[in-house]
Amino acid sequence: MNTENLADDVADMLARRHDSAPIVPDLGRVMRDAAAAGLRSEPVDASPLVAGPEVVAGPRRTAFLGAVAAALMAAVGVGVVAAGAGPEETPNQATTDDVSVPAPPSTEAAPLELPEPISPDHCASGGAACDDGAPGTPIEDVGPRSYPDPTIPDETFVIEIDPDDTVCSGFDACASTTSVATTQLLDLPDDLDPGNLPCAIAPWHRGGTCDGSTDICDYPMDPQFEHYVNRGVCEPIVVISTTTTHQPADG
Amino acid sequence: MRTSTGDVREQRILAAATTADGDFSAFYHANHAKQVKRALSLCRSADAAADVVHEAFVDVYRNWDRLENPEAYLGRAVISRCRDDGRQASARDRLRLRLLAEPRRPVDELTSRDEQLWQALQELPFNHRAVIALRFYLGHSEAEIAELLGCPQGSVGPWIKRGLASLRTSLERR
Repeated sequence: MNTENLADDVADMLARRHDSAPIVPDLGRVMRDAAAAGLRSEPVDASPLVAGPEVVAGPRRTAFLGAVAAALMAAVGVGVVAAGAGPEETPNQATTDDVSVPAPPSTEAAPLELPEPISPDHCASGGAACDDGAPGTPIEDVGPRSYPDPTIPDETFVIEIDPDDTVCSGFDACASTTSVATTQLLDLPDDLDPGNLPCAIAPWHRGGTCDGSTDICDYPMDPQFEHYVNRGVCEPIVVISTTTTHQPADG
Repeated sequence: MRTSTGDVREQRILAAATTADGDFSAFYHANHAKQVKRALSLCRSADAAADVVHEAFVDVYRNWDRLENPEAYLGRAVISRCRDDGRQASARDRLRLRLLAEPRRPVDELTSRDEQLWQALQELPFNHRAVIALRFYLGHSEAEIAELLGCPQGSVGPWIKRGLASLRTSLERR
């Protein structure tokens, strides 16, 4: 395949792909799903990814929530509250029968749904500046590191990987991260690509190329693993074996 | 024409909410196409892209009253969700294809250069294919890409370079 004008080819291909898959706007569905989800969330985390400095508390908030609450109440037959006045309880003006009136939608804080699944202690112990915006404490700038890092015990940890266990619907469920984090990794068998080991290694090493600091930040980091991190740039991590558990390198 | 109770209810919600904050409606229509274009270039399927864009707008809507820069929020939400979509899909795909030693899709099954390009692009790490798509397809500057991806600006250039190199290598094998 001719790859001379690869960037242009990719752009053209993506344009054709876009043209062949029209996705129509559906504002109503957005509003319905937002209503189903409770319409408002907790104050947005101040991390850059989630909202950052654009988060404001202003007059829009009151007016918006009040109006939405009024919309919902109107929809279920409850007396309408003046927009901006908030979801005060009002008599059911729609019927005179003994009908139970659904409670107005609460505008009290509901659990925040972030744009991406992030654990509360995300990056709590590491992650170079956590520049994917997750909450946490950025690690200090550790400066350049040599590899293998002399501070890592000269042991070989060999992880057992059962393909059935490592299929992750979402990376959160994987438990092998820590095991890999403590691994002193040397050589990679030809037939084993670290990028093929989802959850365990993929965050730091995908097919020979690290995805960068944002992936490092995706996991609560084992302090031992920070030795492999240089300002968010991954250093090589290679699996020795996929068979047993823990054995000293020198016997 | 008979209108169902559900329709009436929906119309009331839409009418009241939209009237209360027509800004969001305008924002939605002004940004939908752009985000679809972005998501289609980063997600692994059109369905996933549609879901990503929809969910991102729901997030924006839910936080609408507090967002000073909804467009920036939206852009990042779309990219974050595309990244997650890729992770989940690629983890399954890679495991199936390689750890379980399932054969790769033979080249002769690929019917077009576009498919080959798309497949090769999907094999790149997310950040690499994201920077390629954002730079060459969507025309973002490196500074804009860094902002969208939440990464240092200095990472963007190397990612583009490595991504294109990997892509070229992958295509030459085919």
